[in-house]
Amino acid sequence: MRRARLAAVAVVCAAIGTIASGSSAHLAVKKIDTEPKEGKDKPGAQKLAELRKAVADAPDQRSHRFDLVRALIAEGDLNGALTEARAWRAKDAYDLVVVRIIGDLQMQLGDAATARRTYSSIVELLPKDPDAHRALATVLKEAGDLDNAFLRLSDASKLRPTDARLAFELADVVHRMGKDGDAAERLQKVVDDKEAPESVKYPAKQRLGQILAARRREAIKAGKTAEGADLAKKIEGLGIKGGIENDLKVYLSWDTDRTDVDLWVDTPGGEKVWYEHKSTQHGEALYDDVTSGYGPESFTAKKARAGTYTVSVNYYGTSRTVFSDARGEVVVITHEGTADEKKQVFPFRIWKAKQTVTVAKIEVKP
Amino acid sequence: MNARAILVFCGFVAISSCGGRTTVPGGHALSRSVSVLEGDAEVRTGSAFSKLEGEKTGVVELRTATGATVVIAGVARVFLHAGARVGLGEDDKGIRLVVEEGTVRYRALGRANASVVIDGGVVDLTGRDVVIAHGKVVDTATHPDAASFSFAIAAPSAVGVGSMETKTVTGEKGSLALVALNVEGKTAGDLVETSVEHVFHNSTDARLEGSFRFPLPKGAILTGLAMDIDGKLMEGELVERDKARKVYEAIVDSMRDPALLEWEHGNTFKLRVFPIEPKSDKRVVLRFLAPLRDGAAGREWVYSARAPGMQSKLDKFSVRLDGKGIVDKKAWTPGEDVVVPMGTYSSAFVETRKDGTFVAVRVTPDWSKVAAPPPPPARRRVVLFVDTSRSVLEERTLTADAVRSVLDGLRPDDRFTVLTGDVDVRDGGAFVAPTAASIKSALDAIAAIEPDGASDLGAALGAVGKKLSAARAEDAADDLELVYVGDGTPTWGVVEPELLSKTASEKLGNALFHAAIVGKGGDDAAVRKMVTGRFAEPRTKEEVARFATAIAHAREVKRLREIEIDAGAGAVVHRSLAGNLFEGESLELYVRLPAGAAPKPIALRAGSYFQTIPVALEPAAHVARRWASQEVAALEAKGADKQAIIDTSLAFGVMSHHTSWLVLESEQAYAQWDIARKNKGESGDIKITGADLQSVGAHSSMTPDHLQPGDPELHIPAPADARSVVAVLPSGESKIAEYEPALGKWTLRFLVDKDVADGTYDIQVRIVHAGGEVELQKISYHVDTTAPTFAVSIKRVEGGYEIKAVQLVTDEEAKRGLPAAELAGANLATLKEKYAHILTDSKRLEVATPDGKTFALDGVKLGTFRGVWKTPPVTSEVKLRFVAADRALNERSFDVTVSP
Repeated sequence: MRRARLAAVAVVCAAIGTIASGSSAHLAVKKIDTEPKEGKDKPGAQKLAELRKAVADAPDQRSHRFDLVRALIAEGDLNGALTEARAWRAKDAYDLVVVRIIGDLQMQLGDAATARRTYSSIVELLPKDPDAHRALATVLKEAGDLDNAFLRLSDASKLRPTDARLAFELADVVHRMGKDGDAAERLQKVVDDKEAPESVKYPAKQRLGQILAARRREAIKAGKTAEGADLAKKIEGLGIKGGIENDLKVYLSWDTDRTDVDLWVDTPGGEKVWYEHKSTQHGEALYDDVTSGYGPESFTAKKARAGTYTVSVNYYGTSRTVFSDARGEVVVITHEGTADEKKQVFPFRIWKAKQTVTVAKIEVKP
Repeated sequence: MNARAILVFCGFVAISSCGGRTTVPGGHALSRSVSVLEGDAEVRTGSAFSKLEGEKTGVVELRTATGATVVIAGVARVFLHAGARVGLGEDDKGIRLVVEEGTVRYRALGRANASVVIDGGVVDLTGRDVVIAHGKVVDTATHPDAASFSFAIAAPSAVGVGSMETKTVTGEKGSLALVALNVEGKTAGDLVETSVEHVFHNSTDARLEGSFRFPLPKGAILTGLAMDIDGKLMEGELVERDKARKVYEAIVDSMRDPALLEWEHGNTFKLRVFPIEPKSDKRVVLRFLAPLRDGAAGREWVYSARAPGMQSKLDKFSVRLDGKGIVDKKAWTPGEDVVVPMGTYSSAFVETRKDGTFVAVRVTPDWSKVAAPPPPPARRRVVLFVDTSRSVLEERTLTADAVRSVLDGLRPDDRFTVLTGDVDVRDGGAFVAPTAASIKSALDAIAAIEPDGASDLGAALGAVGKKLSAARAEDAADDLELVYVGDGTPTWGVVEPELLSKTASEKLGNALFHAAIVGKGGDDAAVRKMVTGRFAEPRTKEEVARFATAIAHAREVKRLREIEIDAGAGAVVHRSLAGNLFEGESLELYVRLPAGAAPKPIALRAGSYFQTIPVALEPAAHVARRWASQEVAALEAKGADKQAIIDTSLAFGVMSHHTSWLVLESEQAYAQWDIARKNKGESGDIKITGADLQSVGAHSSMTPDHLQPGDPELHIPAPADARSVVAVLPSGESKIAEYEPALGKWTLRFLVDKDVADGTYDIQVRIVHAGGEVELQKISYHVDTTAPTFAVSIKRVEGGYEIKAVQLVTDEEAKRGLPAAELAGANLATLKEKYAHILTDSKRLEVATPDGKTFALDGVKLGTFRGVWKTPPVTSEVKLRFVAADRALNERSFDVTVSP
């Protein structure tokens, strides 16, 4: 049953969503990549032979192992890549990058059960490390296993109860599991947490606003005008800049602390919105550049302009974590706060600092 | 059943020894064949001994010089300790033994009649597993340790002492060997305060960060961490874990000297050390309280260097206890534990503090007053659950040994099945008889599974419960048991000990639950709570065999169940065992009484058994810490509030999963990070450490200490009983060192005059040992008054400015810093390269930006620092202020201009 669900989610993630909304704009979201283009070209036999020799000459060199496995994946030889990754793991039992690569390969080869077993060894080796639980939650979310992702984030949160970002992530997973009420309560706690940084509080307010807006729409639809008015008041009380009805919203989050991952959005107006240029002359805006944790950063276009929005993720740098790669997800919400609201999730993996991956493009037609 | 009854029943047949030859007990030679399973044994079938090869019949005597396991076909295994000699015979009452010399273990394989002749009487051995020595017969059921020699006949397990994984600042991975391991023990009540000095050597040209994973002995309590920083032994502090990690990483980023010790898992700890300079040593001292172990001849202190998959050789290894040398070896290959008999100790201790009165008591029940167990059922059905999660990867061999030992302990009529599991559970099929083929098949099935994944203990209990239900339906009279072999740490599904314990009660019913904790360390609170049978944390093949022996007889020995303890009003009591107490075991109690309360007798009740433990308490240190260690474990097991755990941990100085030991480079650093100092130790002293002193092995090589002129103190870790320790200073002056008991070292202070030129200087040390032998050593130090200079380049990159700084060492500086003897006629460029690790001595480089923020550059290799100033492009010229410091703490500030 789990296998079936994982496959279904994979299809959803790969889908191209076209939304004819009730608002004036027509937004079509297209998935582009999950990984940077670097290293995706077929290396060819000679290059592979060189990489194999490099591994044979220095079997303890992690970078050689990594390059060989990536090259085999680019070559399309997933079984060969899996064999090499296992050989790497046999020499490097505590390296968790290779654990996730092996799990990815097993997923790609259609063996979700074995992939789950592999991924789960992360918390077996580091049961008291909240970052390990969180990193495992990322791959479980990517695989569609929200139940276990929730358990992992719960354990991470128990180990680091004051971490508001973990609380936010938990609320988000609960929301995806369809438990809106529970999610709203959790988000409200984050909003009310005096110790929580504004960089977490604000996205929490945005998400809470989405849930309350959906309730409000239902209330109005059911003729419960008083309840609708009450909810409108609550939404207003959140103080979300520009309100909760937006043509386009993009969230970025990533999975390990002490890494710095940036959201870049190229707008139809030719401007690049990022931490050095946080708003455009047309009002599109980035909130917030987070360097001390793992997101979330968000981009908002109140009124999407005709043309293409290109959403990319840049891995700025890392510092001493057990995971040298950066993984996470970009959530694209179109027609936020309206009856046509649609959310799509785009996982990404970036292997090295300074690499960029374009995860999605949003075509906007008037 | 006692010896006299047997005597009457059996109708004893006399034996006698004539000229060292045993007359056949029982009157007839064995009709069954005898064969040797392990070791070498000789056999006598007529008048002379011959080597036992293949199967022999008509045997009347066995002997061995080295130890052997011998099988009497269909009846028993006989384990002969080295030097043992046994007479064998047979009559219409069954097999007869007489132990002429040495120690022998007799283990019945079935119900065939057998007996042993002891001091003119006869003791029945039918169906028993006993050790026979010195005219006594001891049941292994109650004294599994007595049979230890029989486990050691097999080849010893792989052993080692630990090694350090390293990485360079660019992430290249490697490993460093331990070059010296020096253990100092000091008795404190029934504990030994153990201090273990690890000396690692970095023979590479790179500056490294090291991660050292090591296990602590069962029941040990970590009490301290210290690290040698520029010749000073800096004591660490216990700090809230997240804060400790944050401080550590911030400091590592600025290339200073922190060490961080985290509780990783079970008994496994991880020490992170930075930096380990090129071509130099790193000295780290761990301190812990080690409990004494019950040995065959009383209590003993064990220093175990056994850890599978780890380093197998050490340049230097020494162990001292209360100032006396126990081991002092060079080029040592770890092969066995260091065991020191400690005699008898008081079993009740008290410590009075402002926050309470603390009591530690060891309770040994009066087993003669405990009711004997009912006769065990004729047949055992055993479900073996074998953990195949990733955490047992390094213990596959020990896991297989445990499974083999448990299955070997079954009798022919018993039945077993093996389940394996991690995130999923695999069914091993129907219950089968323990034949050679079925045992091999089970072991092969386990070996075929590569350990991976997390541990779902809840799922395991569910699957075992189904197996037990099926067994009950098949034959309700069978004795049902679960034997768990794994790391005991739930990491998937339900992980709360309370919930798992409830599940265990529901699923297992009256089946005895035994557990051998094998694996990465085992955070075994959940399993401890569930166990109703025997519990062990074996680390060697011998220990798993001992565990298997204990569980094989668990139903046959007396036990106390549902033990209740009453230590008086307001008492908070922890105990060493949560489940049943079996005959031969003792129970340790740790009690906290309200402040000012006088200890009262402690009452122990288990069913109809009642015992009062008197209050003859001996004052001792660390009693409160022992209680706190248990309290922290209990709080963690029940998922208590994190802050409550941290508060207890910090108040008593015992580690928890939410606290870590952190060493910083100076008192100022502790103050800067707002960490209260409780363990200053000798860190306030200026010190030059001793080097390569073979008497204590503190160092096998020396990094010159970098210092500015002053009056440093020289510490020489020579033995306390040395006749004299004299140092000859570079000026030619001789100074006599004095022994300081508080430090456990010889010390002297000397002057490095302010006019002394920069350079490397040697001190000659002469140690006259108690036995008259003289040891000469050289210790070097490096005087440095020159602050480092740098060449800095800055270029614009996406998102900021990349800064690269390289330390410059002029020829003049090199000449000043190099040993004079090396300079004569040598090529300076070659010498600069050779001594780069001394000359290129910059330790940190920080940058202050115009907005008042400061960040440290990363040291990417010796003398080279890199970093990115993350900022939008500058629109006008701005100045960056650089602050550089070297190992002798010379500082230099300089500005660099950044233009648009």
